[in-house]
Amino acid sequence: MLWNIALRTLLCDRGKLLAGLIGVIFSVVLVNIQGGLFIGLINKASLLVDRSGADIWVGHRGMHNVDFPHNIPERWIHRIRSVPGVQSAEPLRICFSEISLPDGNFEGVMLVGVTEGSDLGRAYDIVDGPADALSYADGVIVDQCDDDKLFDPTIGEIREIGGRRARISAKSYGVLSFLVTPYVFTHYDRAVDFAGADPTMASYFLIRVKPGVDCDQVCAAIVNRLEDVTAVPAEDYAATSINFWMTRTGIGLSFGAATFLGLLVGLVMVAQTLYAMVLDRISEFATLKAIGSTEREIILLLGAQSTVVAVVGISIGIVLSFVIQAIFSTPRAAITIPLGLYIASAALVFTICLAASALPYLRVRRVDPHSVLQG
Amino acid sequence: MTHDISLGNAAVPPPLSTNALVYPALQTGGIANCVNDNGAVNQASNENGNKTGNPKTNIVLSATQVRKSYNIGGERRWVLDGVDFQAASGECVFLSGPSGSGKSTLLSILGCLLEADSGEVVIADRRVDTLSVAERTSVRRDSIGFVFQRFQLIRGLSAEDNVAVPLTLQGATLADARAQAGELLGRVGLAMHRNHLPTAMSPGQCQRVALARAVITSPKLLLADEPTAALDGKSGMEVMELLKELVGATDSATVVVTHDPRISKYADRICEIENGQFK
Repeated sequence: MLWNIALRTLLCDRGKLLAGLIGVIFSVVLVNIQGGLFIGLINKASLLVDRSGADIWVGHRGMHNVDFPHNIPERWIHRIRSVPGVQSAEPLRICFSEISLPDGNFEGVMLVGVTEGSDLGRAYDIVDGPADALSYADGVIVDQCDDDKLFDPTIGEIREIGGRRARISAKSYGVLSFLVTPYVFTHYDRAVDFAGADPTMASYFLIRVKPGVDCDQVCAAIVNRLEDVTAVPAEDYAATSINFWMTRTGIGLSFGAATFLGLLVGLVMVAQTLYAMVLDRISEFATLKAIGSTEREIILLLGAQSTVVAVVGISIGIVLSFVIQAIFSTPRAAITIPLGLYIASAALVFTICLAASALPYLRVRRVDPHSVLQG
Repeated sequence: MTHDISLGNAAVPPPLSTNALVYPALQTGGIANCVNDNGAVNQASNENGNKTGNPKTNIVLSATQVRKSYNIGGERRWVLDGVDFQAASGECVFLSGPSGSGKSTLLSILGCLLEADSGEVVIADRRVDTLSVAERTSVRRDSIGFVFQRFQLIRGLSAEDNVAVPLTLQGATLADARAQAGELLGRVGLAMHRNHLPTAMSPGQCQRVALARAVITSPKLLLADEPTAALDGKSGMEVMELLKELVGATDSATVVVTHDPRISKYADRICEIENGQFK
């Protein structure tokens, strides 16, 4: 019966119910979209690592961000290849340079040099151009999402990178840097050439281990052999790169604060709505008390109403979040909402809704059943 | 849980039972005491001095030396000052008196809605003035039915669900409670309105729903606060006739607070209260 009373009194005042639902929906959508934007953005910080195909990343001791490597001697690759459990190891070059634009200007780019004959480090999927685009003379791969920055380069167009001739031989889609500089993929040696860098140095070594081999053991063996390097499983280095931006820029705090404010607004709206509903029906609560409802039943009644508002609002909010994600998510402003975020936001908002029912309860608790006899 | 309330089956409020005929109109001036010397309820009498009803000795409600005061403007004011009151099973007692005389306060104390400062209140052989809040709630749920001036129906619930509420509070399933509520609504002439919301019913119909809600658990004590005040004359009479018949069916002791002289004929006794004391 409590559910019956809770539901019917909620439905009786559809205006207030709508206001409460909007509060919950707003909170759920805000948490999901803010969280999705944050995850989408922060995932870019580790995109090269995530898509590298490597099991282990080796870089200079203390490496902390994939985009900011400190060079290590390229010759060390041979010592790594001889470590037990290593199936293959390839050097990777990451360095800054500039690409010329048709209007005579230049745009900073981040060169990613990968070795021929290996798929390690090839974080791109070609969507326009030949699959062997890097085999072309002076060939480079740029991303379609950077077309605006690079003034719409076409396949076969000649540009200059670091004062050297470069040919746009293919385009990828959705490989974007956490920084504003576009990624440009090319061959390892060509990248060194474009950057005018020391050809004896590499940025990283990417390692694939043999099946069944423990990555941590291989990392320990590498560090044991080469004391000046850090060797970590790829997922660890992805986390390290993400953590770099999280801790050094305060981005986590700003997104978190915005999300918290959204939750707070939602909480206030739900609590205020339930409170207004209770104020409107204060004589009904007094009547229920007068005819024998216990405090526990009153709490359950308010809790049931909060639960209804929460469940309906969360369901609509999740559907709306999904639709917004499907419509508005782009590689540049990626909205990545994993299942865990949906579950977490639902649990969080549900808890908040239940907490919000405390406010009207405090009011109902003060209601004296005697008041029904006082008009 | 089943509560049988035997009433005449009628689509409209049924005619008065024979009980009504033995309770002719009373004049308030003809009644002075609400408890006789040996504790039994006085027989009511009309202005001609005729005995007007069968004496009821099965005391359901007994209040002894009840006192209640409020602090008004820093001054202690006695609203009830040593009131003795009794009502027997099947008896309908009216409480009347000017505004502020203490009748609603007395009704609240009798209904376990308010604590007296002192005195003793016994309902169905159970002393209730010493009970905790939770225990008093339990007494209200199990032993008392309330009829309010403004009906106090829950707006979102249909007539049937409103009547079913007390039964579900006692633990009945919603289906059982609805079945009994529907049956009772039929007996009070609201079979066609069982699914109507209070906003879709007239005040008279609402008060009949409230009456059905009050008696559906067959309470030992029925308390009504100005049950006809919000109704026109005809509806008021219908409601009182219905109340009288329902009380007859449930054998509840009934206490009615009223200012309405038109309905005095439905009282077995009328107790006038003034300045916190019975006249």
